Amino acid sequence: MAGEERVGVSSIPSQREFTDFYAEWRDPIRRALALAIGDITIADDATDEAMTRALAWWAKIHDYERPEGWVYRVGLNWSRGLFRKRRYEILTQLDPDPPATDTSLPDIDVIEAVGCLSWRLRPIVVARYYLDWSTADVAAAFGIPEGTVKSRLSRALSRLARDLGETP
Amino acid sequence: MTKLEDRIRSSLHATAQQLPDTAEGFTGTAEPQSPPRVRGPVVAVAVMIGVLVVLGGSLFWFSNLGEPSPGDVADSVAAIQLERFPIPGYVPPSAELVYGDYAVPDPTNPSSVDAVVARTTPEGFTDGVVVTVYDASQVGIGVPEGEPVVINGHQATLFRNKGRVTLWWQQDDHVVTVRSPAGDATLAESVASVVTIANTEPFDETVLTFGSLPDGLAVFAPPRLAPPEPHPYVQIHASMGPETVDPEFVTIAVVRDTIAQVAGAFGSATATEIRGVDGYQVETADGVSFVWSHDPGVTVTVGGTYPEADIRAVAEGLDFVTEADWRRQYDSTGPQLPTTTTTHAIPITEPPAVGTDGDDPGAPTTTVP
Repeated sequence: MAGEERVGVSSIPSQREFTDFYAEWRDPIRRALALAIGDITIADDATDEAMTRALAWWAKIHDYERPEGWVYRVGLNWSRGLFRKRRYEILTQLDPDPPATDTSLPDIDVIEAVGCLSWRLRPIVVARYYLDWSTADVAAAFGIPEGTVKSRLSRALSRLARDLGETP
Repeated sequence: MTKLEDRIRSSLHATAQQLPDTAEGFTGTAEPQSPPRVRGPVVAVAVMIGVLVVLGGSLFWFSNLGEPSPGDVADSVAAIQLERFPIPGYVPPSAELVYGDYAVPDPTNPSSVDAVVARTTPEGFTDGVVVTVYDASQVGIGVPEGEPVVINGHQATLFRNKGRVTLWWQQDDHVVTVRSPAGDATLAESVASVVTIANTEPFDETVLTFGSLPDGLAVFAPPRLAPPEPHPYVQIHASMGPETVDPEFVTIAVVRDTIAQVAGAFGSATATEIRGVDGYQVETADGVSFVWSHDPGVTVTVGGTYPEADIRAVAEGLDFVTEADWRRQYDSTGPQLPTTTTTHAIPITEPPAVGTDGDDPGAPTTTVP
C-alpha cells in the first residue's frame, strides 16, 4: 500500500549543511541539466524542483555519498516527465555578451553532436565530461552498474566520433 | 583521456560557461533576494515561488531558524497551498496515531509508463491487469526467478508473490512487467501478448499501446508517465507492546494520481459511495481499502486491517488541511524533526456521526496539546 515507506531517524542534518550543499551544487547542476536537456529555462525549473525535493528529503539523502547525483537524476526525471522537447536548443540560448574572463568558445560541432545523442546517453556524457564525475560516481547517481555506464559512454563516444570524423 | 574526450569536455565546459546566470535562490534566510538575472518574467516568478517554497518548508522543519517569523512566510505561500493533507477525525479505540512523513521519492524507482486494463461492470471492475514499462537504462537488469514463458517471441519469466502473478521480460531498451493482482496467469499472459511498446524518435518517449484485448477487457487507466512523487500519509496503529507481532493498522495516503490508476492497481473493486462521492471499496490481503478522488488528479486511499466499519469511519472522518497546517499538527506531536516519523498517542474517540451528504466528518480530535 502506498505510504508504508518510512523515513529513517539515523541522523539529523543541519540547515547549514543543506545551505552549503545548495551553494556548491546549484549552479553546476543547473548548467549540467541545461546541457543534458538542451534548454536553460527548463533546466532552471528542474533545478529548483530537484533542490526543493532535496531539502524536503535532506535527512535521508545527506547520507548519500553523492547527494548531487540524486539531485541531478531527480532533475532529469522531472524534466523528462513534464516536457516533450522538440529540439536541442542550447546553442541558441548562450549569453551573447559573456564575461570577459571567458577565453574558450564552444565547439559548435561538438555541441550539435551531443545534442543528437539519445536521452539515454546524453545525461551520462554530461555527467562524465562536464561534471567530471568518475564512471563509478555516474553509476551511483543513475543507480546502474558501472559497467553499464562504461558501455553507454563507449556507445556515445563512438557515435560522436563518427559524427565529428574523429577516432573514439 | 583521448583527444576526442578532451574536445567534448572543453566544449561542454565552454558552453556551460556561456549560459546565462540566475540569481542564487536559497540563502537560508528570507532576506530579500537580489532580482534574478533571468530571461523572462515567467521564469522569475517560478524561481521566486521555488524560493518561497524552500524557505516556507525550512521554516516548518527547522525550529532553530531565527528569522523571519513563520507566519510571514506562511502567509506568502498560502496562495499556493492546497487542502490535501489528511488529519484523522476518528481513530479506533486503543490506537496510536502516527503522523508519517512523506514517502521518500526513491531515486532507484525511476519514471515508468504504466496502464491498467480491466473489465468494467455495473458493480465496479474486475480482472484488472497492471502493465508497467521501465527504461532499461534506468533500472538494474536482474531477472527474477520464476517459470520461463515466451511473450511475443521474448523470453519472459512468470513469478508469483503473495497471491499476485507478474510477468517480466526485457524488450529492446525496455523492461516490461504485467501484473495480475488476482493471480490470474492466463489473463496476464493474454494481456501481455497484445502489449506494444515503441520509442518515438528522436525524443525517446516511450509509447505503450494495446492490440486487440481479450473479450470484455478495456483500457481502464490509460498509459501515463509515473514519476516517483512524494505524498503525505498518516498511519493509525493499534497500541504496540513488546509482545505485539502484527499490530492492526490503517494507512491514509494521498497521492497525485487518478482514481483509475490507484484503484486499478488493486485489480478489482466494488463501486461505493464514500464521503458523498463515488469511490471504490477494495478487498486486499490486509483487509479493506476505500479509494476516492479528493480533487481531480488527487486520490485518497484509506485501508488496513481494522474492521470495515472502522476503516470507513476513518475515511469519513478525515479532515483535509493545507500543508502548513499539517506541518504544525505534525510538529505538535513530537520533538523530532518532521523528516522523522513520530508517534503520538491521542485520545480515544467514538466514530463520528456520518452525514448522508458526506461533508460532515466531525471535528478532528488530534488537537494541539
